[in-house]
Amino acid sequence: MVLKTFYCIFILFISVNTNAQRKTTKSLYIKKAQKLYTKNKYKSSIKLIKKAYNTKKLRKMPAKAIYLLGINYFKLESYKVSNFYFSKLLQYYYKKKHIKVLRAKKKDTLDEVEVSRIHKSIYYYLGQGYFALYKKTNLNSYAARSIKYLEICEEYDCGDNVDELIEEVQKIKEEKRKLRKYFNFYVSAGRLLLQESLQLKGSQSSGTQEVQSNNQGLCYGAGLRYGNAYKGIDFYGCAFAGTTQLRYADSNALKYKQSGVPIAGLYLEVGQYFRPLADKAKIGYSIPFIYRSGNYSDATQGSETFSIQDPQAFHTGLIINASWEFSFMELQMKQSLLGSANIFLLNGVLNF
Amino acid sequence: MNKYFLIIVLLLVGITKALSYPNFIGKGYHACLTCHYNPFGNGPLNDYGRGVAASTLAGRLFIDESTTDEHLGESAGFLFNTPKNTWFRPALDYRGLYLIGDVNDSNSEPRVIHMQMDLSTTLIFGEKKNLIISGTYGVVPSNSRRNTNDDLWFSREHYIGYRPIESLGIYVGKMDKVFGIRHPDHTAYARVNNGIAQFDATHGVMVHVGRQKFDLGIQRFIGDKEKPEDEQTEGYTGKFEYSITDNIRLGISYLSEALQNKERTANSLLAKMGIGKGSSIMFEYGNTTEIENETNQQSTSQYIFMQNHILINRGLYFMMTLEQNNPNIEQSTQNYKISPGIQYFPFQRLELRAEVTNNKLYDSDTFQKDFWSFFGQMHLWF
Repeated sequence: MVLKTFYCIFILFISVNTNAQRKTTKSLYIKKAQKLYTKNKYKSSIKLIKKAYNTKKLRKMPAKAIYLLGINYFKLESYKVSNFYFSKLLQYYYKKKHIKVLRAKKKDTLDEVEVSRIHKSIYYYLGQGYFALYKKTNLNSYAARSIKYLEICEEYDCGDNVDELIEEVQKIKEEKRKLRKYFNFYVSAGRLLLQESLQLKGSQSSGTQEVQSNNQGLCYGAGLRYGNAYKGIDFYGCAFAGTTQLRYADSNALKYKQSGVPIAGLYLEVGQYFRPLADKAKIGYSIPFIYRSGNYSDATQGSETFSIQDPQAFHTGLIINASWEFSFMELQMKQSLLGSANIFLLNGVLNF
Repeated sequence: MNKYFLIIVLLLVGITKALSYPNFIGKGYHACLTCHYNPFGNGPLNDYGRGVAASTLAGRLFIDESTTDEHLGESAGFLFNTPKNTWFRPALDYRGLYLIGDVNDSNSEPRVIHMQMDLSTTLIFGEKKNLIISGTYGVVPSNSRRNTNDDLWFSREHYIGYRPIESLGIYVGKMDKVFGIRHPDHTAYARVNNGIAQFDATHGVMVHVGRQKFDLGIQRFIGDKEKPEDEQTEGYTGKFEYSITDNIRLGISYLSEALQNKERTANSLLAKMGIGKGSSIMFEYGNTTEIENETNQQSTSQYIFMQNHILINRGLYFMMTLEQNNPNIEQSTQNYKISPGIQYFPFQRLELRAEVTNNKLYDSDTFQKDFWSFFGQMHLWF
């Protein structure tokens, strides 16, 4: 509908000048080219214009010929070429008005500047042309130009679908921004709770007993994420230090008890995260690799000495992660779901 | 017999109630009064609350595309209809729990607990709808109670509220105590430690002063007159919440009460924060001091409650709850509960919740292997 309207404008535009040039060959060519355009023979139309004019010397061409070239190339979806001709048309025939329009747009006073229908239609074609180029190339400069011309069009009421086009450009632009991948480095400080099963061996018994060790400490680390607004991968590591307490009693008596045992270790993980709704909160999973070293002492009960068999231990499993971002800060919670060791990590994160 | 009657009523009568939690700060809802008749939440929802729950908060499972959110909001009332009058609002709730105490222990028998079967009625009078009479009556069947063979029939709350001006309200009757973040997890340390759990509503007077940015509540209570005299507690409590930004609300609470043999005082600091398009962080830190009357012996407990939600899709949340409790700050004992889970409102009138809880005990004398519990909840409000 909108294009039909522009076509009528175009006919009007052409006919204003045709009387004066009717007798010239060039004007006959233009008339023929115009007819070919209406018959959707765009290539032939272009060929005819190029026969009449040297398109390398656009300054010497009448506005109607340049306009006809522009709309022909637009129909052929050669948007770069089409935009070139429309831009030249603005430059050679509407320069002063165009500058006024751009200034008024900045000041939000477009309603004070009147422009002709042809001038409006040039903006409309440029807006659509740059939008098509943006969709094809992903170049933000095209999106920006498309929005610029469509916004002018919106003010001048060039077409019914201008609002939708602007919305579409912005939506695609936003979506593309969200899909762009980037690195995110962060540092963290947190509290770690780790329960693990250790093996306790008595000097007078052949087997070992399972004893629970409740570790707690602070964990300082850093991580690197790579992903877009929806998902990504996360590499994280922290070094922890703290204390643990252990106790073992059989049905007869307390056999082993220690508290405040120094422990230290390394927590590394690799995982994947998802941002539902491309939002500021993330959920994900990771595989942790935890190395822990503890300075356990032997304990003597009567004549028997008990010792921990695994002063160093390695754990892995599956971690479920959740985090919430506010500004450059983030709260992170990690909880293991499987394995012999239960880990919980509550982190404060600074993103860079 | 009575409980079966109530269940039948529940199934036959379509009445609307209850989908409004403090984590909806993530959706921009700071104050409870926006959606509830009670300015500090809990109890029946007002018309706006019901409409919002249906049209924006609950999901659209099994709802065809031709049904608009506006239509859902309009049909959020009694029997899926727009209320026909302005003064009578019945409500009905059921909340059931499927619990496995220790998922790795074959001796741990799963339990089904009917936590809530309530029938509520709210009457609203006045041109400005500023006089409210609300009552909620419920039953907890004997099989959902410990150490008793009797069903518990009781009034969960009943009060008269009058708001002479929009920002001031006076409420008289039986209500929950105004303290801390009013979330539905009634077994949380934050609620049990402070005597504000499921059956701890009390008779009294509550004054509420509130505007867009803040809520202040002061309550004088004289005990739950339905309970035996030795179980009644008397005292006062108060809470102040203030929104420092569009998505951050901070608050403090204070409670002082006299129990049969002791005095209890409790303080808490709380924060609620909306994150992004609907996710949230809720945090409460509190301590509770109890002094034995006879011995003057004092003990102070301390807790942290943190419940964070991530909005995955409309009506669907991933949630992670961290609770820490130190029953006596002079001792090193620490209880932890860490609960990842899912909360899902597939459509208006149904809430499903599934959580696994990692229970930890850090104590120098008592050792306990971590264990995992499972909680599956169903909440219906037809």
